[in-house]
Amino acid sequence: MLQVTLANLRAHKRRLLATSAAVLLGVAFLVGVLVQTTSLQAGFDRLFRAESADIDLVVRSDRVIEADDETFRGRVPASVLDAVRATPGVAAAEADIRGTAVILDRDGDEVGTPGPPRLGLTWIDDPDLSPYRIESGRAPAGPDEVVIDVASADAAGLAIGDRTSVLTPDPVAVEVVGTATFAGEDSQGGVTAALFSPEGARQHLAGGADEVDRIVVAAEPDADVAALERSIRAELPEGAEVIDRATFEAENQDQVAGLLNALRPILLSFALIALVVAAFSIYNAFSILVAQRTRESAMLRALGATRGQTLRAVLVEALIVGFGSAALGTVAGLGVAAGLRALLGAFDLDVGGPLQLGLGTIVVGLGVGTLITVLCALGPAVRASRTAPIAALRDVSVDRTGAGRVRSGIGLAMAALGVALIGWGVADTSLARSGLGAGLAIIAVAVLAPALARPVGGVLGAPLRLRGVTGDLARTNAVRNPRRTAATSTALMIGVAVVALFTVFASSLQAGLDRFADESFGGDLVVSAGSGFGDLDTDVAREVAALPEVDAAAGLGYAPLDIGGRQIFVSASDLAVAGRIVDVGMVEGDLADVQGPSMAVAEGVARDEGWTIGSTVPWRSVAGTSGEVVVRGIYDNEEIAGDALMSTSFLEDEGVDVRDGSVIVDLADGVSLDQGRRALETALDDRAGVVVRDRQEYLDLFAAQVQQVLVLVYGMLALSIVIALIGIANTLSLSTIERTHELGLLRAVGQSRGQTRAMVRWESVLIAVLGTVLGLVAGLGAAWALIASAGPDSLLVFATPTGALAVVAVLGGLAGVVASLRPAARAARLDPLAAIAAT
Amino acid sequence: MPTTAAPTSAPTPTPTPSIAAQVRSATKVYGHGDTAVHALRGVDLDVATGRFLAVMGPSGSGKSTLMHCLAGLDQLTSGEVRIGDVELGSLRERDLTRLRRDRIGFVFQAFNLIPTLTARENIELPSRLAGDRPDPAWVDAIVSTVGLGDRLGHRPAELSGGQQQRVAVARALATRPDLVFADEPTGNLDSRSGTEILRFLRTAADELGQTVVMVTHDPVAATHAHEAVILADGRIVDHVGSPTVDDVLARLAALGG
Ligand SMILES: Nc1ncnc2c1ncn2[C@@H]1O[C@H](COP(=O)(O)OP(=O)(O)OP(=O)(O)O)[C@@H](O)[C@H]1O
Ligand SMILES: [Mg+2]
Repeated sequence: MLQVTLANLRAHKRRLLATSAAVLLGVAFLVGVLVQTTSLQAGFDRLFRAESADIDLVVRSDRVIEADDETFRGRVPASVLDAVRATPGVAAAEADIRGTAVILDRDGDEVGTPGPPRLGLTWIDDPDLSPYRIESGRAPAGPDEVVIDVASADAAGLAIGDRTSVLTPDPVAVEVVGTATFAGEDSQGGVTAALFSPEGARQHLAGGADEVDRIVVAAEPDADVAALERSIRAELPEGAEVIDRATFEAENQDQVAGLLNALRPILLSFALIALVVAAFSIYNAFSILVAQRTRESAMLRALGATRGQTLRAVLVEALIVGFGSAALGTVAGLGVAAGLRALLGAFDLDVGGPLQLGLGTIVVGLGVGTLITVLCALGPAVRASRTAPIAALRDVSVDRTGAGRVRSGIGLAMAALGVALIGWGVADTSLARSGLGAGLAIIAVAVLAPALARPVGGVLGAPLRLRGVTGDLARTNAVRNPRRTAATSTALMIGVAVVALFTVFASSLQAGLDRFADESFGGDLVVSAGSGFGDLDTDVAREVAALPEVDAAAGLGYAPLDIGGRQIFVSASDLAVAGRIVDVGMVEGDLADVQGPSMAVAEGVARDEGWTIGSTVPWRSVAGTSGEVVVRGIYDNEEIAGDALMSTSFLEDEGVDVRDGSVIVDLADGVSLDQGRRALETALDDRAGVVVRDRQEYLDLFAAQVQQVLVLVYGMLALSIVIALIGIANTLSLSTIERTHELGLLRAVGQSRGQTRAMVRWESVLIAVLGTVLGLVAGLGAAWALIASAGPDSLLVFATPTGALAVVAVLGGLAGVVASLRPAARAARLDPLAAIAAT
Repeated sequence: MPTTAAPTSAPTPTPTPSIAAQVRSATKVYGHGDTAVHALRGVDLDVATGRFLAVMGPSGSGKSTLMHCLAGLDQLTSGEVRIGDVELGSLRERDLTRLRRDRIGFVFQAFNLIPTLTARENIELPSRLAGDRPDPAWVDAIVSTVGLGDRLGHRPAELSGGQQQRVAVARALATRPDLVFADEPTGNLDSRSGTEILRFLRTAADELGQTVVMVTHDPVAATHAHEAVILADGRIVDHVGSPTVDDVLARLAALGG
């Protein structure tokens, strides 16, 4: 039997090629994802280990606030440095003042993206205490000199001696006196660094205070570090702590672990989609191959082969094909990983370093590829083994399997259950329930696909009537094996459904943002950092508010604060005027009353904490300040105001560092938008990197962000779509082989080559359009279900991007044309004589 | 037999109106050198319009090859074939296809029909490939002549072998071709069904003026033809008018001897 299997493999090399292509691509994507995440992990590990240089101990503040997974830490007095240095056993100690610092390039545009941090740091010369080394130029000496990382210098086109600005967020005019590498690389994985002299850091990063973020310590070579840690701890003032190298490294790595843990499942789910699509293609290919060999299987059975032998023959074939393709796929995975790296690199999610193809990855790639192929071949193999020996003697009709009542029944039941779950989920806004329902409904569509293929194909194929008999033949060919057509189009359906889902999500998010802006956003103009996502100094709001052209201006700021034990970002603004521009939806109290030691809180937070108007709540900041505030208002628009609202000037008076994300400006009566914009631009001329936008321009920034993510998603889905198309091409090729006689006859009785090509092409288009339409319906339905059950308070407003979906539909049809190119050409090349003669 | 007073269709005037197809010095060689097979070694043949011609001969004598070359399905190595006034050797693939579609009808031994089309659709296929609607009166006439009246809506799988061949014959006649070629049209049929098909082909020639060329092994089949040519080893070795079974058997036997 093995001989028969091997002979089959040899004889049907071409037919198996497309099957292997599906396995190969699916495995390649999986391996690519694994390689890329492992490499990313390794890269981050390397970079963050490097950050510890040869530091033995770190002294820092123990005042911490963790808001939204971000850790904010206070500073320690600069004088601690002297105490540390004086401790016996300390070889060297340096102070590091750190803050955000956005470097501007020569055109005044921001370097880097809001992705990785953009840091202002203190230059430390001692190589034991800092991973930064001068690459060219010299270390910063004066307070307005900086060294920047090589990557930023390249990106910004800045050379030594150039002058530019660094936003801290106040624009600081600096001269670039040098460039530096981080642990031998151009940057710390996309982190932009502006390194100031200690005095420069004090002035620009610490706001002139004699405070530092950390003191990094190297012990004497022979010192007992644990003992040294104890003696330093004894010297430290209240509010300072000392940690060892291990703790420091672990904390640094934790920072990226979160990012990777979020990224890995997302990437893996795209790989999963690719594998599911591949599975459909593989299953289909084996079904057709087995059907075409019915006569041969029957003959083998007639000659005495047992069922088990027939079954094993197919499975061994699958095993060989699966393993071979998986092996190739694993190698190709390195290419995919490189592609993913480029794609993620566009989002600054790349840290360089070699690609890591571990043994585990290889095992997973080979195992998954082989297993999927064998599992997909199992059904067809069982069918082959059931071939009655008598079939060898009959003129067996090939693969006439219909839809199957049981299958349709199961499909309908699943669809009903899915719809019911969605209804329930929408009714009580349970995302989990309608998510499950939507998933079930999509599977139901796949299960029902064979039953749907004929009627839906008939409707979609109706326009083909216009193409005369060629169109008729294409239409009937497309639906003559409903199960085959269904499996082929289902592969595409899944890809398209996910595309549609994300497209609808993006447009719904867009619609939600627009609604949000309309309802809660009264301003004419918005002042913000160039990218829209940086910080502004709170003085910007004050300067703008003072302009005669401006009626009211409110900075929308934030500060990490501990309020009654809740560690949150408190929203901060000039609440006397903010209420005129922004609608926070006051439920109780008056926003204008929230001045001094008082706050307004979100309804949900008030309920959770049992706070009411008049409640007194303690607060503390990382700056070490603390006190009590009185609740004077309760609001319900958490999207814009967050958990709690306090007055910017009160917080700043208490030493809390408030950063404005944007300033919303309402122009005075009679001032046109253009006049207002010019006035603001003139007033803010000295503030590099600050941009004035009108409402729409500002909203477009978010739209662009959403689109960018959408592009990433499309990129991830591209491979799945390609696999589905290969599946269509494969099915067509196999069908063409199967219909050799027919094609020959058609050519003999006068079908032209062009007509033959058109016939195959239209069949392909019909299958592709069927998959696309089912996918669009499924994707739209799922998106609606999820958005509807997210509830009216969510930022999503269901919106169908008709244009984008129409593009998807047209592309689906065109994809059908592309998939048909080779099979159609082959069908047209068939020599009618040979085709008729072949028996 | 119900007949329609249908005239012989002759869309283009031919130089010798009584000749539907003409073969001159036809040779056909498959392969090269040592392995070359000389399937035709200089065949001359005139097929008169309105005649039913049987081509006979031992297996491998070149019958099918001759027919394929006559029908524009294959190219001669040398010599020429004319259908009416058209020399096939000068035609490009596209024109050959059109010629087959418009001027030639085919009946093969098996696999004559497209399984997804009904009997009527199969019959109308060549016209519809040309983008025409076949003349319904003509189709009805053929259909009733072949005796398929109530089976037209069925697909080939639902028809008996004899019925399938009748559909194939009806299709071959539907475009009123200059020539109908049939390669062993009764090879897969029992003798009764076979006889029906053969009678029908003869009727088509006698009453509709249809020219028919049929390749067959079967001396009984050949008796339905107006005349028979006998091929041996790539040459026409004999010519029999109004063949009888004995006649044909004797001449075939003579080849063996
Ligand atoms: N495509 C081909 N390649 C090579 N040789 C061929 C080819 N087709 C036919 N032949 C050879 O040409 C010769 C004539 O073949 P042809 O099919 O015309 O015979 P035939 O008279 O129709 O035989 P039969 O009665 O068995 O159908 C045979 O020797 C055959 O082997
Ligand atoms: Mg023959």
